[in-house]
Amino acid sequence: MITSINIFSQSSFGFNGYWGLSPNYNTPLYSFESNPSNYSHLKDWGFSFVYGVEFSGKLNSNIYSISLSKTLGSHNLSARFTPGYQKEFLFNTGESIIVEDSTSQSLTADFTYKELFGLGYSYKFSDDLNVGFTFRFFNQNFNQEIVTPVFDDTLYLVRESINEDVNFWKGDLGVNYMLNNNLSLTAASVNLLNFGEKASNPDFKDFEIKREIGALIGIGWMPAEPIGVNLIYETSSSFQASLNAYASNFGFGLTIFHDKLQLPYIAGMVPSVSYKGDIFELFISGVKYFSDRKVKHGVSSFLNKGISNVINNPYSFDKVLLTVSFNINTVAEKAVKFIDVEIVKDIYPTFTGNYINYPYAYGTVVNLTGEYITVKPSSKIEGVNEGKIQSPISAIAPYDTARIPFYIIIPESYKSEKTSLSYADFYVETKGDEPDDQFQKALLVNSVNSWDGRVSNLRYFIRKDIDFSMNHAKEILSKHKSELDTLPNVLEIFYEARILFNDFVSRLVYISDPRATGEYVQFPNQTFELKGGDCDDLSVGYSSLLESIGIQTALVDYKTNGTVRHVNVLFNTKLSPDQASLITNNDTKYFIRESLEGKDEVWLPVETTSLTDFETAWSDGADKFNKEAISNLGIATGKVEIIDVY
Amino acid sequence: MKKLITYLFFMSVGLFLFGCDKPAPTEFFNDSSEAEYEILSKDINNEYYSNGFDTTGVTQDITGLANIIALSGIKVTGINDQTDRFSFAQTIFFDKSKPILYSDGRLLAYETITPGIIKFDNITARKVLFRIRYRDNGVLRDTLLGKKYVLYSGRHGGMDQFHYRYDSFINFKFHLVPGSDTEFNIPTPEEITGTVNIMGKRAAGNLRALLRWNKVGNKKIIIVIGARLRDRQIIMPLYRVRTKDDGELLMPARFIYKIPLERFDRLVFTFIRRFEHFEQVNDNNDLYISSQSIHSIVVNIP
Repeated sequence: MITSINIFSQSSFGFNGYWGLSPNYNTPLYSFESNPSNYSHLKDWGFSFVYGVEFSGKLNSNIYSISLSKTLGSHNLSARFTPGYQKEFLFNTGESIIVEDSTSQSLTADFTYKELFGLGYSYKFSDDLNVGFTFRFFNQNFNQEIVTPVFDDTLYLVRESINEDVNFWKGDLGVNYMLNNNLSLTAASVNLLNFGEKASNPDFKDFEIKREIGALIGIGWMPAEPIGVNLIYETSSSFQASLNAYASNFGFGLTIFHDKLQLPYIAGMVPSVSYKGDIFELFISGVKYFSDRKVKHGVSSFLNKGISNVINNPYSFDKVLLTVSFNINTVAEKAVKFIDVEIVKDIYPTFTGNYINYPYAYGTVVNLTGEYITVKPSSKIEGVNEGKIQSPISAIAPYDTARIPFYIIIPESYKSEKTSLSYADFYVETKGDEPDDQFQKALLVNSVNSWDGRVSNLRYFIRKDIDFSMNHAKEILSKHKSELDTLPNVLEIFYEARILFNDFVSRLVYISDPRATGEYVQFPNQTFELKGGDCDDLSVGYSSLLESIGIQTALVDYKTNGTVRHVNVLFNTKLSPDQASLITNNDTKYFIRESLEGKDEVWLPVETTSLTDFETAWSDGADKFNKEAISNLGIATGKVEIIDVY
Repeated sequence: MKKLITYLFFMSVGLFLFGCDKPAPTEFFNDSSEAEYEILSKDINNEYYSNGFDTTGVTQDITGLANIIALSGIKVTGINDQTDRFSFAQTIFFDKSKPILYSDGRLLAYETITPGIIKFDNITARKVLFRIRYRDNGVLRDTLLGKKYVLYSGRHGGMDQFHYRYDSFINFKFHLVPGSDTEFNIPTPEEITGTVNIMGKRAAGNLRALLRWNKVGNKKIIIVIGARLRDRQIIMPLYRVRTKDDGELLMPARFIYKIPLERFDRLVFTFIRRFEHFEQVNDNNDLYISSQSIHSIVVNIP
């Protein structure tokens, strides 16, 4: 006669044995039994199935489980379908009835316990700390023949079947902590949360799975690199101990387990061998019980002792199992990582060439792999660039840290006249199209008229508006076509420069820089539009006019006036020193510079702020140049600098 | 990557198609306590079925038997927990040539005969009238089958000095007149003492009876569950349960709560540990010998 049984739902036994947190493999971690906290090494998607053969007297093969796992940043989600996690018991209930012909008919029962599926979630707070939970759904099907008396005019017995499905969820919480690379700890609940149905038929109430609350604690220790030792202990006094070894792509594990409801004391072992490929893991494992599992059991042991576990109990058969897992990375694995990014230059949008030739930022990047890697850096400034601008590729040694330069291109179309605080996104890629890492940093994007005070950068203003200057210069010179046509060719440049300057000064007045707090340089069209400017604006404007018609110019940077710098213009007449007398007999009014071809050429200094006429401006420019650059040895001492526009 | 996912998809489908077996079940052989249920009173309005259920606790369909020698050591525990002890011995000889029939022709019993002198432990058994009551076409009838041999001692009118000795032997002698003597010893079982614990509530549908007794061995005992008819104050045997003499039986709830309260007011659980012997001499001279320890316990239906 059935009275009651004690069935405990799953605890820590898994078909691949116990591998602790298994630093080299993810496959054992699909076991919600030994990994209630859903700890995972996956970077992206994972898929696993367990297929096995059971030696129950005949070979019986089936799928035990199919698992899917996905990592999203620090989150991991898992789902497991377990069609093979079930145990069916067939037995006579011990009841029989005497029927009309005095024969006896026995009544039978069929009880099936199943774990149908499970869900898991975990959050990795850091590389050391992981917390998660798993929920599993169980079904219990009770099917039993009973005999019931019926009191009517006559009393008779009715033989009937009663059936009931009882479903419930059980959930557990767990935490994993890596003390260091060699020591890890796991703690989890057993049967902490239970909810669902209860058997309504009194005949089955005593046969429901008992869900007594407990806990388990696991420790993984790797005394030497290729060897790991693991122990997991449950408060029910059951435990598993395992030894794992790793060699190249292969692994070996041997787990022994003690179950308080199974004999002998060490109830069995789970040996396993494994192979790890690039994207898959293969486990072949066996479950060998040390008691004879083919012997027929009396129902009394089942009724009195019950079972402790759906997949591991005194009536479980020996098994051989094949587990295949795939680690599918649709997201590239991070090979490099930013430590910091340093902005070394604010952005002056007009200085386009400045950022192509010189980096505006440096990223400190670490190689996370044990191999040499090449890193493709790129960056993008919000509001300036539409796409990422590639910087030169760099190589980084294994586990080394490198300082990687970032360059940028300012598009011609950028015309913002307002200075703004923006930010730049920096990327490093090693393979594929997805960056391994990215970093964002704020930076100042100045207006297109902003200037950093370095005279050498005025050339960008000269070049920027060259189309306007060319049209303007041609328009002016066309008015003096007859005059120019009568001149000897060698003097053409001199007279063109003279005509353009005289027209220039006739339209403009000197106006000091309107920006009190920063340098501001007008483009030539703005200078003409505003009808004036300071020395920077006037030098830029005049130089641009000359350059637009092919007259070579240079800016003279006078740094001698304390905080107030001055700039004026030199232009190349293309006259040789012998021909200088064609324009002046005063050798202090010109300056000889050697061309790239090695020829001496006559350059004339022009003081663009001297808005009277060309001769005066030339004379003033020459006076200043002779005094500051020559007499006071400005060029020799670096206090005066000549900067070629091209 | 798409290729890999495609492979995985087809592999999963393949596994479902070719691996959809399920783990082998475990089949147990029955080594636990067994209970064999039998209905005793098919017609619970028929007093005939109550005939055997007197204080002896013996329920027998006498139509199937020839000659009977029955010895009983009887205890009855009433609802006040007071236990009375009785000893009872009887011998019945049927004349198979004289059947007694229902009005529709069915066999009811046979007439009895008293062909000599019967002694139990050298105490001569008395010859008493043997009547049975039965219902024929809805009419309650009383009929005399003849005489039988009886020895009885107990609280009510215990005039005989016969005492049932447990776990021993009782001597039986039969002197056929005219004819020779037959003598043999009839073994007696160990005394049975039971308890009844009614658990649960009728309203909750979980009314169960936990029956316990002093277990002796691997042989079987019989437990007869009877109920007292509320209106006629007679006890009807309802079920007979044959189970291992292992000391405990949990009667399933349905066997208790199905008993209609409006017709029955008390339950009687009768524990019977019996030695029995059946000897087939010829069609007319079969001999059934039973020696039993009986403990009847009367409880109110909760």
